[in-house]
Amino acid sequence: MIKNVLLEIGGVGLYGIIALSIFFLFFTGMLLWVMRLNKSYLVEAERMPLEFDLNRKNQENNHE
Amino acid sequence: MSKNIETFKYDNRIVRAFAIASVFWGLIGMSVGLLAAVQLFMPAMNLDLAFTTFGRIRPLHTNAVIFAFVGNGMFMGIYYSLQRLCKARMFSDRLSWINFWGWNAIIVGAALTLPLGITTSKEYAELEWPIDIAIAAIWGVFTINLMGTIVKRREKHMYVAIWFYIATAFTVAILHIFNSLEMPSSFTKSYSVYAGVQDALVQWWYAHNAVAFFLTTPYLGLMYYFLPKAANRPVFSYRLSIIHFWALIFLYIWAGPHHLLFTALPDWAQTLGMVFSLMLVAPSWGGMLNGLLTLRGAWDKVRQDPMLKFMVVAVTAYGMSTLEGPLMSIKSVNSLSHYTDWTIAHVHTGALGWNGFLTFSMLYWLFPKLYNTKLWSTKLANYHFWIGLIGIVIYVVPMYWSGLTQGMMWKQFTEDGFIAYPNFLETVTQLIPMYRMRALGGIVYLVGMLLMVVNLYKTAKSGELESDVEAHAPAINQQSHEDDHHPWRHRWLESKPIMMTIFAIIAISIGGLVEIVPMYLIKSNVPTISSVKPYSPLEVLGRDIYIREGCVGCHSQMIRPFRSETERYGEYSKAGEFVYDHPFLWGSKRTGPDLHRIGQKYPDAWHYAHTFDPETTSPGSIMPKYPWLYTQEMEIASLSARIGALRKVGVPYPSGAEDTAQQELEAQALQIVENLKAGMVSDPKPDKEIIALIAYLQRLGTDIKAAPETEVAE
Repeated sequence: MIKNVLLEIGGVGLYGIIALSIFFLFFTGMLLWVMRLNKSYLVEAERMPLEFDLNRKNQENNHE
Repeated sequence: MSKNIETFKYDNRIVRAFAIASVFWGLIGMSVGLLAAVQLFMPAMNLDLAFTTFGRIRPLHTNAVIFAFVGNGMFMGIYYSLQRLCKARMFSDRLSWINFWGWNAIIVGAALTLPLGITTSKEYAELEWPIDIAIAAIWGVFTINLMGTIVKRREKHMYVAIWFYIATAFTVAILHIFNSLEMPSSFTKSYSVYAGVQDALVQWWYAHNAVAFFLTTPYLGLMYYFLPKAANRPVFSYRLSIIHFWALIFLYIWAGPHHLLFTALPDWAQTLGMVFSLMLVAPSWGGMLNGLLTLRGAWDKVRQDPMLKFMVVAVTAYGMSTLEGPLMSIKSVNSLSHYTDWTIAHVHTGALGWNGFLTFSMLYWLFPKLYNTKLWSTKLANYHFWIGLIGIVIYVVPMYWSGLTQGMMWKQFTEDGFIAYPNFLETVTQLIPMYRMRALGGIVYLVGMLLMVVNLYKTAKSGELESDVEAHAPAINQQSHEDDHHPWRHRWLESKPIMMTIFAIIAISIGGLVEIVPMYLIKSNVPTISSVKPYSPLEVLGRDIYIREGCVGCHSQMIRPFRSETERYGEYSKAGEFVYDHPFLWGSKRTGPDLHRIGQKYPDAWHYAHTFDPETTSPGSIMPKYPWLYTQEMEIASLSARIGALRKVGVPYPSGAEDTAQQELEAQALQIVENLKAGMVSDPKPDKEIIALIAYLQRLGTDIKAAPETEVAE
């Protein structure tokens, strides 16, 4: 079934157009989404790798 | 302490286990690489043993470095960072240890089978089917452990490093499973279900993305965790890291065909591969700049901290190789660089610089943490850095030189229009000084690594392993859920790991499907040639010996449509000539000449003498001797199983071919023996492996000469 459909499409050109459309939709969507991200989330997220050490330092300080 | 706060322990023991395995296999893998490198200017260094000959140990080197050194390094970094980023111990200690022992048992399996010549010959997927199944199972264990930890995390958000880990887990599984579909003929031998052009496309879709999703995405995740930690400041731009992630995984998957430019792969697929490779520069450089800019205002730390030094060079090497890769994907550049040592230079910038230095950086950072102590000697680590860097330069520069030299010599014409260096060997002997330099570079790099081993050992001795690190965090269900009112927002997406996984799988599937599906369903992509026939039983055995000895590591079977190639080798290779090639053997490097039109070029006696001792026919040749092919008998007992397996994957052997195979084989072998006697070979034996190999070599590329070529394009 799928084979017949694809065979009828035949031309490679259409594959190109489909690929290009997917490409543009993907990137436009991604960029819009990223631009709309909330600043407070970004600040929170980017500090995540550092947080463990801060916790640990606080604990150590508390013990003293 | 609030009553919502939970206490738990991070597992450091598993991190240490992977760290030790990474260092151990790194030393082994690089030493084997060195042995292979030395053989290129001193072939006798194979010690006249089949097991230590270049064709067999080259895949051992690549597998050991990729899957053992980098693989264990990746697990080390992921098991450490994931627990901290999720504020949770790994999902299951038992799965962690199954992952560790299973993965390392697979590597031992590889280290035993590859020197024995048990190989599929598909690059970076050489391991045979029982090991392939084990890889899929252990990778599944890792994926369950990863996702389980993410699901039970105590942190609402998933840091971007985790996204890279998820993409790695699922994409590697998909690539591995689809590229490893093969039909066994015995416990140690199988045939790819794909043939020729399709096999090539699937293989390079896999191999390119093994680089992308095994050597790159997990290490980028690790970069996004360890670099901010080392610099003690957040990543330069979190937005950029998100763009880096999605753009990279979406684009990477398309670029596989750039390994097949100017081959018999249809032109549209080649162009697609080239265009997407060029686009890859953007996310790759975005990622590199994001890494380097994280250090803004902290460059003074780089002067003092060897870990940061390694990290900076690693990220720079990532940037250099991801700029170079797209440039090499431009067809005109590729026509010069492909099959030469330029590719070797390119991959070693990535392997030694990016993967090697990032692993070293993590090890220097982790060991003092794991053992609750200080690094034994910062000075020694600094020495390692400089020695390693010099090693990379001594390795890489001669390889560029060698690649350019050979590429240009192949293409050089005289004023009269003849190729200037008709003897391929001339273009090889020219490179010997560069091969010596490269081996020296490898030694220097390895010396640096030995210094690291001493340093890490002493560091471990000076402290005590903190197996379980206690930590505290509020349970996730106690945390605020105010963001859930906006389910279309980013938080909703990334806080739902399953949803995130599905989107990532969709992103990586599109490219693969658009390239691979049409290749199967549209027949005009592989025009059939009526005179191309399946291999005879003797040739099947010969081909399997060619595969076992790893001949494909040095000889391509793909003549590109350039005058410089058709003049040297003959008619360029057509897609329809490979329809019975399970697996394809196009190769990716020409340390020796292309062999696609070698059939009938020389008499049988020439091959007999040449394979026994290449220098008898080609003085100065760096090809190893293959004396064992003259004493080992052909495996005739397995012949019918081989023919049967090939029929199952679509080779149209007539029914009953298994029964007549031996008779047919003996007749063809006797004919070759007669030819050898006529060529003054004394007492050739018809049952030795060399006879099968000669039969295969003499068949190569001859089918289209057999009858007028008729292309049937449907």
